[in-house]
Amino acid sequence: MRAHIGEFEELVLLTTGVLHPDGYAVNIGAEIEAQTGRSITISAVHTALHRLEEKGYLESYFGEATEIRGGKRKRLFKITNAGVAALREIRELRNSLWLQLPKVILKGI
Amino acid sequence: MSRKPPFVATKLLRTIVHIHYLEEVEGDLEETFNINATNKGVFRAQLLYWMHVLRAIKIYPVKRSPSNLLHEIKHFLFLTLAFRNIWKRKGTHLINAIGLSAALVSFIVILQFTNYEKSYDKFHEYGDRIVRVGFDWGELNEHGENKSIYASNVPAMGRLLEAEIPEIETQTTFVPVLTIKRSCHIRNPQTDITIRAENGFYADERFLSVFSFPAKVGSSKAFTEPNTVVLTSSFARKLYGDEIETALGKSLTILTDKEENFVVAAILDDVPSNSHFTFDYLISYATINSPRLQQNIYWSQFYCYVLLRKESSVANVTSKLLDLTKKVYGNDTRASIFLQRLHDIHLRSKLREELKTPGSESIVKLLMVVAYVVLLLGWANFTNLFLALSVERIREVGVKKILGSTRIHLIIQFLSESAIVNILSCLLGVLCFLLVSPYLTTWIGFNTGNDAIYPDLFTAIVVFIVLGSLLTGALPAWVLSSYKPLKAMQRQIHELPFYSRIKQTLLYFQFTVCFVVLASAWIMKRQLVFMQDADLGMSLGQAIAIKLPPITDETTRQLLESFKQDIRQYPVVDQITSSSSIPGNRIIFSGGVQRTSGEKLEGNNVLNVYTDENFVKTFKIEMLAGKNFESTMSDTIPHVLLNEAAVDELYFKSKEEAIGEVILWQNNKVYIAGVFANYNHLFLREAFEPMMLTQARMRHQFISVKFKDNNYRLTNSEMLSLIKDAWTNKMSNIPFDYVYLEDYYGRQYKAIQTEQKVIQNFAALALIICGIGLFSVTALMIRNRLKEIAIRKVLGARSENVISLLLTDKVSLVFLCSVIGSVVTLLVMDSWLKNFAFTVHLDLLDFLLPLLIIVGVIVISIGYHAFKAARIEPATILKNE
Repeated sequence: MRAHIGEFEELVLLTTGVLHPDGYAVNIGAEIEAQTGRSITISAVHTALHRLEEKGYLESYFGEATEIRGGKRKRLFKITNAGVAALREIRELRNSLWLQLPKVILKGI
Repeated sequence: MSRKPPFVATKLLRTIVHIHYLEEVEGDLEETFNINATNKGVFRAQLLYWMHVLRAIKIYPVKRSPSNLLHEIKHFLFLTLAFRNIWKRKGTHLINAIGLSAALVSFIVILQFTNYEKSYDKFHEYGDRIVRVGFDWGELNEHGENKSIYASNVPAMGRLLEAEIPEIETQTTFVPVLTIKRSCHIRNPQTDITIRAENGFYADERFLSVFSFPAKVGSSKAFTEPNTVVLTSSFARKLYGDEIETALGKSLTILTDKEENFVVAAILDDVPSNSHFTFDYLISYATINSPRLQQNIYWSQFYCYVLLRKESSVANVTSKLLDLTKKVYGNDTRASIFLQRLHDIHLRSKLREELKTPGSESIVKLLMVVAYVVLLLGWANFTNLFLALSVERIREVGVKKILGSTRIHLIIQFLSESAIVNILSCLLGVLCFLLVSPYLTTWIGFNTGNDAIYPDLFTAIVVFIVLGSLLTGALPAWVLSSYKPLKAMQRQIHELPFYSRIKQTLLYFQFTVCFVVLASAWIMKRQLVFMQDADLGMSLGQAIAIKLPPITDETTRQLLESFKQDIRQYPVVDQITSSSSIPGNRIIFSGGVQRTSGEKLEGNNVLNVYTDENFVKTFKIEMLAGKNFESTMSDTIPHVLLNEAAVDELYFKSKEEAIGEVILWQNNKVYIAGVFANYNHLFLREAFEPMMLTQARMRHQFISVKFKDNNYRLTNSEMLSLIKDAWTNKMSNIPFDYVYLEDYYGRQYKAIQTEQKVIQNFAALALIICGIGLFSVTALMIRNRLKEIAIRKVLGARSENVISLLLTDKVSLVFLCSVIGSVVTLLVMDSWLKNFAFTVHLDLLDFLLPLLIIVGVIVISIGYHAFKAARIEPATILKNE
């Protein structure tokens, strides 16, 4: 069975895909902040990234070190095929649910 | 504000975040910080940084992966390593272990003794509620000192206390048999065995319920009737043989001034040796009791112990005592009574009429200090050696750290090394103790009690020592493990500055202690020798004293006289005298004296010895004025001789003035025939007391026989058997009970001898421990300086230069230790010498000698290594570079 993905994790996974191939904790966090307007702490992003990596939806490798980071390397994240599949599945599930919504509700909105 | 993330936070981050994630996390946080710093200002960025770091705590898994520490512990790797390391330096460690175990042995021994001393009277069930009531007459002697404070009390006091003070549950009164009777023998009428029995009490029926002396046979209740006795087991065995049960209900005869028959009511277990009074038998108080005795409020030689009620306190009762004494002795009396807790008596009470020579609290305290100091010395050695070794091991630490050891690894490794050495020396020490404990009493000169080892104490000591030494091992372990790998590898470090100072301090401490005990032992020895060699003003050599029972009938007295006549004929006998006291025996007769002319004299006390005309000649006491007694006694008025102190006490202007005067001793007229020089009737701890000799035919308790200087080539035992034969010839019914006067007098030195011996042994021990420590520390120090020495030699230094270089290092050690040590010794010994009436004077030699010994020890412990170092071949050392 596919591992469960939380809402925040889904956001992180999607954003990693958006930023492909340069996504790492800081810019992923910044991107989510920019797109959603939520305030994101970097440790939350770290947790989500590592959890997704454990689940196999992301893979990581060390990127270049920059001066702004005090000479430490970045850990760059790349979405895996399994990650893409998971995203797709979620989307399909959502779509199918959307299609089943009664017209009445949609009208009200 | 610097544009950098807070350092402390980063440090914290590094400790909490797993190494695997550290780089990215740190980088990310720093990047965020920099962005924030630009956008929001440095201060807010720093706050945010802190916040992020703190969040990291809960988010990231613990720093280290499951460490191989567990693996090491599981497979005893650290033990293997420790053994290997110890083996590599086995000489040093062996010395270390020997020093530590020596300290341990003495620690155990001393604690044995002090525990024994402290265990006195703890076996009584109600011990914490039993209180002795002492008596203080409040009389001052000519020096303004109160010597009239008694451990005993007056016969009437027990009942008065019980009646007047409700806090007192019950009381018991007892009195030594010899206070009432001059002597005491007990005979078993069935077997006709008669034994001398001087150690017994007349005790009332409450004695056995207040104190806990359990009955073996019979009931301790059956002790109210007159003419009943209670015996201890070992005493009963002497009378009745091994089957002591049979003694119960039997009768026995007690011979004092008369013969009386008694019934044995019970047989008790023996009195434990740690009781502040011991007895062989108890005679029921009813035997001597009379209404007159019960109301006697002046004879202060009876012992009164009260049992307080559970809820009452000593302070509470004390507050009521004053009213009681006022009631009994009138409002303006100087007399008072006071309470002493049973548990305090043995160590704290030094009054007149103590039942047993009291222990000395100061000795116990001294010994406790000694015990802990010895232990400290041992530990100091240990720490020192470990620190010295650590210099050699810095590289090892560096390599280990580079290979991935963490600090905990290293600490565990060093600690296990120190633990092994400690446990080994502990085992060695305990083994030694078990081996030597049977001989302790003779070697050390004090009694550690019958049961050689108190087991709880024993475990406690061992645990204490192992723990303590582990703690001392912890300091070097901590220090060593703290080295940064690179720093440790970079260059050869010869000394760790701060820790070398610790090392120095420990050495100073050790040798100061050595100095103090050495000097003290020496001064005590000098005082002892001074006392033993001093001119006592009399001579005791070649003399024996025969103890006499009280002689009441005229026939025995005549027989005694004829015995004296007989042996006076012997050519070996020089002098013979009978007297109520002999030198070394505390004079029991004493009383106030008045002159018949002049002012009334207040509060004086003159000791009195009843004797004959030969006393002065026998003991070679110098006559200063007047004449010795005539051989025929004056019928009208007793003649007396005074000593110089008594002449002063009576305010005679000169010795000559006193001659021919008549004075009143306890309201009896006596005629002063002469004045003799002061002599030390008791040993030199006691000052000269005013004293007089009274010519009398009664109250004699000793016959002293002085032999001529041995012209007849007879051995002591031959001379003795001559006297003994003469005695049995005439006095067949009285046992020949004798002492050598010199031995008798010498008994007084025993306590001080013990004290001195303890300190002396301790001094030797301290020197050995410190010497061992210095020896091994020097070995390591010189090993680190070998290259320096080699270079010096290449540059032309000679062996003697090298040796003196290494020795002069320690000049300040010697100097400082002896200065501090001298001051301490001076203070301690000065107060010790205050106990004595006649003392040696401290001089420079007293401090020079310990100094020399310490220099000797230092030279020996360093010298060996220095000599070896001085003879090295420089090339072999230097070619390694």
